Amino acid sequence: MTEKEYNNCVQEHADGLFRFIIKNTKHNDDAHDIMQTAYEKMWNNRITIEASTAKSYLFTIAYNCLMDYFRKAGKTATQAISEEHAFSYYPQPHDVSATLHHALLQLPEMQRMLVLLKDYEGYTYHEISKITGLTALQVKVYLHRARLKLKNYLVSIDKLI
Amino acid sequence: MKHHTINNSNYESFFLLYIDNELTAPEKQGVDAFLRENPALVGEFEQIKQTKLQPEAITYTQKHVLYRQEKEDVLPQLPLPPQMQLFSGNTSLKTWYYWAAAVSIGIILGILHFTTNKHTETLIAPGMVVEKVNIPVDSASTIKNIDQRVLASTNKNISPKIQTAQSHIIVAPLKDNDVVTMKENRDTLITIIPTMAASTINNRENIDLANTIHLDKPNITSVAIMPIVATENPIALVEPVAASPKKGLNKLKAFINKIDNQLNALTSTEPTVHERSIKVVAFTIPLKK
Repeated sequence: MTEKEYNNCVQEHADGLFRFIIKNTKHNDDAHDIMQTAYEKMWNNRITIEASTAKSYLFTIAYNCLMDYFRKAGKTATQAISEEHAFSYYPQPHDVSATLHHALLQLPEMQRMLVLLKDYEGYTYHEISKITGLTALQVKVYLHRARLKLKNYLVSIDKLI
Repeated sequence: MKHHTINNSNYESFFLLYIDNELTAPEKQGVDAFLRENPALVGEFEQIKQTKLQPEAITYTQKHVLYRQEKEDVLPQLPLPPQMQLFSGNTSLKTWYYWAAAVSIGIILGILHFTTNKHTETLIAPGMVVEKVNIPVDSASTIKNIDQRVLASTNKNISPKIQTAQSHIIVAPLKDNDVVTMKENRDTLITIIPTMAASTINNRENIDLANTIHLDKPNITSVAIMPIVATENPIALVEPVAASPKKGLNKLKAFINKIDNQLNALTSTEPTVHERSIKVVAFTIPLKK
């Protein structure tokens, strides 16, 4: 990867990478730190990185940083979504998109990251497996579980409204 | 990833794969056909479809800190301050970090060198009185042991010299530990000295402490550290070989102040509740001429 390719990578992928990170950390400073860590590593290893794989490389670094972040923060256990929980704790957003994003926050970190990689970045199961180190089958299973949780959440909110 | 044909037992999985865009075109057509045949499941399909996030436009506003240039290895957008531009214009911030680290290490090593150097220079002026101490020394002796034997064995020999050692200041540590803290390796072991009980001093009325021990404002320039040289007659000659650092001088000044207070207490006619005893240790200190 050349200097120009690296800087193109900043131009093209920084927004998407930051969106992926901030949606997980919900903390601006932490997201900036992870952004800089990811690009710093890519710059330092640019000789061995192909421009065509740069985006996946960035998301892989970001994913690993986020896993460390959650581990350090002790946030590995996210409460399960339930109808009662939704009713008693969570505000009820007015539109499906806002409700969905609200539901997304309730997913376990792993599942949330898979959903974001799938829906925002459009990665296939196979590509996600390369980024996360999971098998494609695991990615499929986790993603399907996440979707069903989101669906049940939306249905429960719809019933409440 | 191959999938079976959609049916009533696996349609949910197909719906999810459909939403995730993981089906081939024929498989998608199969799902569409299945939904046409089972309109009751369209609602469930739509519910799953709603779980797909719509991309959200978020802009990263700090891209400028991520851009790099080959020649400026680190933080090229951050200009170096003028005072740091002594070298070539291509000197990176990382290089400066290395320089700063190297200079810091050098300073620390320098400080350690001067504070621990035991063989700097002789500060005892020629012709000054050299204290002779009756000290049996053997190679197996530890520093502490030597100190204890010195304290035990030199009482008689040192005491008469108190009056005549004009170029010496006689001071006393308050505790044995004060002697031990002066320890160096054996070659440069220092010190000296008699143990004198308070009664000993009191009985020596001919010792004029006011003239012999100038403790009020000692004009100290440095502290000499003496080696103990063993001789065949069990006389050890104490010779100056090194000077202590300023830190040692300050400690000695504080130490002398303590002794001054102690001597004042000993010579005072006022009653005291403390035991009147003192261990006297001689430090050889060159005085300004």
